[in-house]
Amino acid sequence: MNGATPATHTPTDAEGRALEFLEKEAGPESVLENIQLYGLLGAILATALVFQFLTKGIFLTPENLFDLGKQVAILGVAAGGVTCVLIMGEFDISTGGAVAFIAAVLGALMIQRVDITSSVAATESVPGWIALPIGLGVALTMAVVTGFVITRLARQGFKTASFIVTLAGLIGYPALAILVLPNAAAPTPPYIGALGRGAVPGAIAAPVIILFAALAAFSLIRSVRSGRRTRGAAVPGLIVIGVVLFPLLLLCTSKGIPLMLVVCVAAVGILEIVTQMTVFGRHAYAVGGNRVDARLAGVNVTRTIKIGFLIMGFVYFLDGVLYLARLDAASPLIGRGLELQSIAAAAIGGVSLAGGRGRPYQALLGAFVIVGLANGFNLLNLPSLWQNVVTGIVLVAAVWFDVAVRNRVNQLVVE
Amino acid sequence: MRNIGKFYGHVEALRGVNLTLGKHEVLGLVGDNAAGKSTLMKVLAGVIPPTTGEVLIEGKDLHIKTPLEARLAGIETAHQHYALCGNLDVVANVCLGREARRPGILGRLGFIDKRVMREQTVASLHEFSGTIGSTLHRPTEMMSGGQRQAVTVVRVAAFAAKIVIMDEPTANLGARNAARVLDMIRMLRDRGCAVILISHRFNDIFEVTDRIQVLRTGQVAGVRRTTETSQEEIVSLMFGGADVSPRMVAAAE
Repeated sequence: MNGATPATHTPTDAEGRALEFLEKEAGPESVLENIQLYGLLGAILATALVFQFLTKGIFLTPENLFDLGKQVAILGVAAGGVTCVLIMGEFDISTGGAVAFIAAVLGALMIQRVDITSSVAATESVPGWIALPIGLGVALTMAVVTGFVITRLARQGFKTASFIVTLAGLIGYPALAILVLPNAAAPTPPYIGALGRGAVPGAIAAPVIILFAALAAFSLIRSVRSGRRTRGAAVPGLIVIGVVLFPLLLLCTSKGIPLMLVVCVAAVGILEIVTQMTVFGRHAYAVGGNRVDARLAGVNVTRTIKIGFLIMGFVYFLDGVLYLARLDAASPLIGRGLELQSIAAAAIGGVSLAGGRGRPYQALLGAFVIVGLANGFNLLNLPSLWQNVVTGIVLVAAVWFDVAVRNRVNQLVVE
Repeated sequence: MRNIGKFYGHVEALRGVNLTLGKHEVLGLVGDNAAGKSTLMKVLAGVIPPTTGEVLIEGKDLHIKTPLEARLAGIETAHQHYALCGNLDVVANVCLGREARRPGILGRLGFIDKRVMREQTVASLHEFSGTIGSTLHRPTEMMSGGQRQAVTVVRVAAFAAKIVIMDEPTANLGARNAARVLDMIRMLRDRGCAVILISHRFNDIFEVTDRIQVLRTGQVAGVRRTTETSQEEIVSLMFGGADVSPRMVAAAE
C-alpha cells in the first residue's frame, strides 16, 4: 500500500444515519440476483419433477442420482473452470479436446499390459505417482502456452484472440489424443476405476453435509441480522440449501456420495474462493467489465488473463482423470462437445458470455440442468438427438430470461 | 514534465511541452478541443508513452511506462467519461488496482480484505463530504452519471498521492456536487498534493486554481497566475487570436 491509510473517522449523528442508509438500502440489483437464482432453481426443480413423473419414480432413486452425480462431476469441473475465463470476457473452446489429450497421455503412460500366458496380474507400465504429475505438467504447459499466445496476440490489437487460439486447440488436441493413444480403449490401473465407482458412505457423508448446510444457513441468517443482506436476498440462498440437501441425503441413505462428485464440489469450492476472495478474482471481473478502465486503474490485464488460462490447465488435468475414472478405461475419443456443453452450463447458470458477471457455483448448477435433461432422456429411451434439441432450447430460454430481467431492472434503476 | 512530444504517425499531438507543478498547488489546464490536454495527461498517467521528453518527479526521471507504475509513483488520475467497471460495486471500483490484502500468509497468497477496503471507501466518502446517494454494494452500471462521476473522484482521493489529475471532473455534475468536487480539490491541495484540473468550466478553473496553463495545437500557449489574469486573456491564448469577441468568451464557458 502506497501512501497513508485514511484516518479512522467517528461519524457524527447525521453522517451515521447517511451511512446506515448506504449500508442497508436494498437495491433492485438484489432483486435481480434473486430472480435469476429463482429461475435457475425453477429449472432444476421442474426438470427433476417432470422426469420423476415421466419415468414413474426412477429419476429420483439413489441409483440414478449416483450416476447423475458422476456425470455432473465432469461437466461441473469444466463449467466452473471455463467460468473463470468467461468472467474476463474470454473464451476457451478447446476444453473437450484438451481433456481428451490429457486422458490419452495418462492412458498411454498407465496402460495395463495383460500377459495372457502368465498367471501374473496386470501391471502398469508407468506407476501412477509418476504418470499423474506428468499429466498435470503437460496440462499446465498447454495452458501456459495458450495464455501466452492469446495475450501476445491481444497486445497486438487482435480482438478475438482467445477464441481463435482455443479453436486451434479444438481442432488439434483430439487428433493429438489419437496419435498418443491409438487404441480405442485401454485398461487403466484399478485405483482409477475405484475413483469412479467409489463413494463416501452415507454414515460419514450425511453428518458432514448436514453440518455444512447448517453452517451455510447460519451464516446467511447472521448476515441478515447484521444488515449485510436484506431478508429477501437470503431467501433464495436458503432454498438452494434445501434443494441441494434433499438429493444428497437421499444418496446417503443407500450408496453414499460419489467420490467424483466430492472431487467436483471441492474443485468448484476452490474456484469460488479464487474468484471471490483474491486479487486475481477482482481483477478478472474488472477485466471482463471494462478492460480499458481496469488497465488505467493499474490492473495487469495480461497477467490476469494468463492466470485465468492457467486455471484451465488444472481443469484439463482434473477432468482427464475423472473421465478415466468414469469409463474405467482410457480412450482418445472422450470429451467431444465438453467445451460447448461447459459454456452452455455456465450460460444457463447465469454467467455472462460478454464477461464481468457470474460465479463458478452458478455454472455447476447449470451443469445439473444439462446433465439432468440428458439423464432423463436416457431413462425415457428417447433418441439422444432430442436431448440436444431440448438442451439448445433451454440454453436460449435461460439467456433470454436473463437479459429480459436485466433490462427490466436497469429500467427501474434509471427511472 | 520536460519537453514532452508525441507523434501519432505523422500527426504531431504534442510539441516540446513543459509543465511544472509544485506541492500545495492547483494547476488549471485549458485549451480548445484537440489542443493536447488529455494526451499530455495520459503521458503523465502512464497510459501512453511520449515520443520525446521525460517526466521528472522530485527531480527523478521515473520512466513511467504503465498506469500501474504511475500509480505506484503517486500519480492518481480521474479520467474523463467516468471510466469505471460497471459490473463492480462502489468499493471494488474505488479500490481497483489497490486492493487491500489480508494480513499474513493469506495476503501473500492474494487474498483480499473486504472489510479494510470498505473502510477506506467510507473514509474517502466522508472526505467527499457526503453520500453518493446509493449503496456501496450497487454495481456502478446501475447508478446515474453523476453518481458514477462521484465514484471516480472518490477513487483518486482514497489514496494519498503526490499528484492528482482530474480530467473534466465536474462535466456531468449538478451545481451542488460540482462544488463538492472543488472543495475536495482544495482539500487535496491542503494535504500537500499537486492537482491538475482540466475543465471547460472557466468558473471552476478561476475559483480553485493557482496557475493556469494554456495549450494550443500541442504547444504551450502561455502560463498565467490565476490572480493576475482574466478570462479574456486565457481565451485569447486558447484561440491564438489577438481580437477575441465576447461571443467566443461565452462559447468557452
